[in-house]
This record gives sequence, structure tokens and C-alpha cells, in this order.
Amino acid sequence: MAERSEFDAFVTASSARLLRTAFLMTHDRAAAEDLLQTAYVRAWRAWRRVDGDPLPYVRRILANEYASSWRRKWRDEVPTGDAPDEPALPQASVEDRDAVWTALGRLPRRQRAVLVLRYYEDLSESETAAILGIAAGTVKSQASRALARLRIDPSFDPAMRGHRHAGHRD
Amino acid sequence: MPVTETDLRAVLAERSSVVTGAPDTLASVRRRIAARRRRATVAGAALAVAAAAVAVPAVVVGRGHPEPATTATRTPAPYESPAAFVNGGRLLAGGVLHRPDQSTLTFTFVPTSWQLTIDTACSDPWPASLSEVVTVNGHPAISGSCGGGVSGMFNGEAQFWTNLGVRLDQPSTVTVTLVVGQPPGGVVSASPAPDDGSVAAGVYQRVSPDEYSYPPRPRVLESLDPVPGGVDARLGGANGEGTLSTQTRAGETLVVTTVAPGVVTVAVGLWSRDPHVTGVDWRELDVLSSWDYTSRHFIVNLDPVGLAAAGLHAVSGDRLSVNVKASGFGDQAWTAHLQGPG
Repeated sequence: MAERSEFDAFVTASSARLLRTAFLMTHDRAAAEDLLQTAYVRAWRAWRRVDGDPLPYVRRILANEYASSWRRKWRDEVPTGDAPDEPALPQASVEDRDAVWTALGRLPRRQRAVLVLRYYEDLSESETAAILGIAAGTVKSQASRALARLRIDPSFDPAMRGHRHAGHRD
Repeated sequence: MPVTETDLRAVLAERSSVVTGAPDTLASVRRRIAARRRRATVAGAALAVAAAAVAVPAVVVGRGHPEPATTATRTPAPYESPAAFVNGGRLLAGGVLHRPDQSTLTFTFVPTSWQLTIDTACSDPWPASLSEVVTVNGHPAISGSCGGGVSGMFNGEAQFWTNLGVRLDQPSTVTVTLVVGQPPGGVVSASPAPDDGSVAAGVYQRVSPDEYSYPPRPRVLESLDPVPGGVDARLGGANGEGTLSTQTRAGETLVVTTVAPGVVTVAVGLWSRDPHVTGVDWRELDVLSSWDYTSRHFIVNLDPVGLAAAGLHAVSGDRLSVNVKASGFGDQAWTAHLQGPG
């Protein structure tokens, strides 16, 4: 019963935070809840084997469940052309944030997971690499490529702005 | 357009702040774990019977029933019709899909407000390999595994529904399709279900508490056991209100537990950092509703990002007052406590 209480307490304490992470990955509240619940159920099956803080363990399940189990979605990527070489300039306007969010939704799942873990969860490259089971160098290159793709996403084309909400629900 | 790491951090923080609560996560996880256990038990029993009595031509496995504690307003499986009331909503339209003859269910609803949700309930046990995809007017709405139900979306945000082509006072069509595997929400092929069971689905529209049909009250309410770990302060009892004091910081949350129907309104007051200013900027942060006798935990974020969603611009360490007001509870059926970072 103590294990159950500990698990319940952990779910209660961590679900709000992890739901946000899941939402940023899925862009859909219901899908995020489903993803989070799946991660918790899988964590419960291995609960006895979890030493120390279970948060990194559950975060790893969540990220990998998202990044790897729905590979079919990768076929739906929107081509955005080659990444530009020029460095980014600072200070995007507030009005462009919606476009950034839409562009984020077009990224391949693993790249989106890398960005969420690096820039929302604020994890280091090595921590992100450990969660996704990839090399730290891959995290670096994936993050770089993802940011480059964001910069040339069609969402920033003024002609596309009226259509930015169409067809990007996971 | 140039997108910097700073821009990205800002967008991620901003977008995450719209996720302001996680009601029912623990209850949903419990349901899924229980469903897995039952499936394992049934499978184990079937193997045992088959091994012990090889002359028996077939093992008949009875249909299970939903968790009584978490499906108080649902009809027992196998479903003959969708529940008339779910989570504060009254059924607008719905139907039942019976396996194995059907893998698709379609029905039409006409909303008169944006306070809508889609609810599905799957008989138990449910094959782990089968998922559901729900579309509205042909647009993917929700998808995922069955058996634990799909969370509703009573957020009242018109945009979610208009993106699905829904218009007030006009008919919209819901289609529920069973598919094999984890659907990505995109194009999937329908699959005939392998055995029996049923899925009840409905669109529900929020009604006032006076119009709602509550489930019968159990003789003994579920326990209001505190959630262990890091409890700093708590409130509870029957109807009334109280105020807790804390500081905003990463991981600071208010956990509200209910075991009966009722409403808990949470407001926060942000104290000025200027010691010469005594006024408190109060904002309503969340209204938490429980419509049955299931034990529910609601989590309200009190970190700076969560407060920003209510228009309060705070930094870690700022002093907060948290006002909790309970109404509609006939019993001592709720608690609220502060919980710091784990």
C-alpha cells in the first residue's frame, strides 16, 4: 500500500507539470492527457525498480512514447525547404508567437521533443540525450536544425497567415 | 522570420500556461491500471481453464464492468445507450457501437452553447490493441486508447469547436472509429473489432447544477486521505471559504480533493513587493467542479507561469494569498492543501 500511496502522491504532484510538457509536444490537450496517462501506467509497472526521483524516469517514458511510437505522423511533415545559413536576429515580435507555435507543430516529433525538453524543461544537452536515448551531439544538431526549420516555416509567410490553424492537430 | 532561443522559450512558456489544471489524471491512471489488471486476470484465468480442461471447446469470458468508483454516471457495460449526464453535461446526442459487427459510429448533434464535451466509454475488458479516433465534421478531434475513457473538453473555448466546423444551432456530425494500434490522429484505416464489447459515445452540453442529475450518494463517502508529501497548509470541511498563505515558486501547487459533487473556486492575491503598498491584487484562478462521488484531485499551479495565465505578473518568491471557496457540498467532502516542489 505504501508503494501505491507513493505512486499516487507522485502522480498528483507531477501531473500538472508533465501535462504541460506533453501538451507542448502534442499541441492537443486530449492527446496530452492520453500521453501522460500512458506514461504513468507504464511507470507503475516498473515502480518497484525506480530508484530515487521518479520524475526523470516518467519524463523519459513520456518523451519516447511521443517521439517514437507514432512514427506514422512523420509522413505528414510539411516540407519547408533547405535551412538558411544566416544566424538568427534577436527579438521576434509578439504577433509572431502564434506563427512560432504553428511552425513548431510542423516539426518532426523527435525535433519537437528536443526543443520542448531543451527550452521548456530547461534540460541540458546531455540530459536531453539521456532521455531520448541519443547522443548529445545529435541533440545539438537536432535542436539547431529544428530552429532553422522554424525560421523558414510557411507560417511566417503573410499569405499563409489566414490558414495557419488548419490541419495541424496531432 | 528569425526565431531565437529566447523567442522559443517565451512561446513555450506562454502556450504551456493555457494548461491550467489536470483534473482526473490520477483517477484515469487508476482506471487504466485496473483495466490492465482485469485483462491480465481474465487472460490468466482463461489459460488456466484451458490447461485444466482441454475437452472444453471454448472458454466463455463474461463482459466486465466499469470501475464503480469512477463511472458512477455511466451505464454498466455492455452499453445500451450513452450516459444521460456526464461531468456536468447533459447528453445532446450519441450512440453505441457494438463489436464485432460495427467499427464505426456516427451521430449528429446541434449545440446551443460552446460548453461542450465529447465523452466515450468503452466496455471492460477492452483489447489493448484497439484505439479510437473521433472526428467531428470530418476533422480529427480526439484519439487514443479506449477503456479509460477519453477526457472531456468543457473549456468553453469556441475556437476548438469552430476549428472542427461546429456552428451553434446547426447540425454537426461525430464519427467514432475503432482502429488497430495507436492512432496518430491522422489518416487511419478502420479495422473490424476482434471480439465483443461496446463503445458508448456522446456529445454533452454543460447544464446548471439545478438541471443536473446526480448519481445516488453512497452510504459512505470515499476517504479524504491527504496526499502525502510536502503538505504545507490545508483547508477543508463542508461549505465555506478560507485563505492560505504561501510564496510563488516553481512547483508550488494547490491540490484540491473532492469526494462529492460541489464547486471549489480558487482565487489568488498577489502582494506587492513594495513594503509601503498594502493592497493585494486578487484574481480568480480556477473554478473546479465535481459532479459525482469519485475521489478527484485537482491541481492548481501557483508558480509564476500559472499565475501569468490569470494576468498576475509574479516572480519566484512573491507573497501569495490563496482563497478557496467551496459551495454545493452537502458533506465534509473536500480538502485543499498547498504543496511545494517535490
